[in-house]
Amino acid sequence: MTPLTTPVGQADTLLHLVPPVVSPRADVRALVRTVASDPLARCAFVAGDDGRLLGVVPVDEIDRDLLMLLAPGVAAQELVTARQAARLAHGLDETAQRLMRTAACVGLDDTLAVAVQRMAERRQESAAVVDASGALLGYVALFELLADALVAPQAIAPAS
Amino acid sequence: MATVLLIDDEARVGAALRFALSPHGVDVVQETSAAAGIERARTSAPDCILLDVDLAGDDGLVACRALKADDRTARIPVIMLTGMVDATSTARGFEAGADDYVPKPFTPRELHARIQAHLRRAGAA
Repeated sequence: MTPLTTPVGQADTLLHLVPPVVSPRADVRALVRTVASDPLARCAFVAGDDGRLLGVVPVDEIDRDLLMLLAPGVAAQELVTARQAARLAHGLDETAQRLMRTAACVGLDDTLAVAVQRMAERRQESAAVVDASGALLGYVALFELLADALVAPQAIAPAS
Repeated sequence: MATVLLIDDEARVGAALRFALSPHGVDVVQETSAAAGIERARTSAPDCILLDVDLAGDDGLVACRALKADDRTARIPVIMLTGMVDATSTARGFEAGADDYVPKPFTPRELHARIQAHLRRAGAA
């Protein structure tokens, strides 16, 4: 069990290195392949050619869209928001750059509690971990942190 | 100090390995092509090789077969780096002679433990 007061860089069983990454130019096909390569992350991180983190495309940002594209009969039963409809304008050629949001993000010296806080603020299930230069190094996953913390709930500390 | 040769065309993988292994006294050197990696393995005899199975198409598998077919490198443990759910790549890696595999992403502890296990077996740890 790793206390939530542990710095992310020292959480050597919870920090996942070499996360799923796409370029900003990646289309929906590439996004789906990338998300499928790492089901735990529940997202594809978007990074520039220099490795710096630009944003994130959470899985829920593309699954409904794909449903509507690939199984419109099923998707018709779903509530389609204006934002989803707008995203569909480009179909499978939609790019990561247009789909991405600001990523929940922490540095190696931030604690796991701060990571949980950032994920909660952004309503995301994983937080990008960047090094001192801003390059994407890895991620921590919300439910993995929670499951680990619940082994000893008294160890849960407020974010600092 | 043990030396790990990483053969992977992505610089970020090298950064991740150095982050995970440097605190344990493991030196990481990287080559970004199969040809350069094989040549480095032949000339510098690293203690362990981490090889991206998806290196430029099938070059990772070709490189693994070449390393295991060469007397100068056949005894060096080769650990394939694969996608987390890429069972086909994992199987192909073992068929090509790989000693183990590490799925991406990996945690620092898992990576270090796997490498240490192979270094112990090879007598380098």
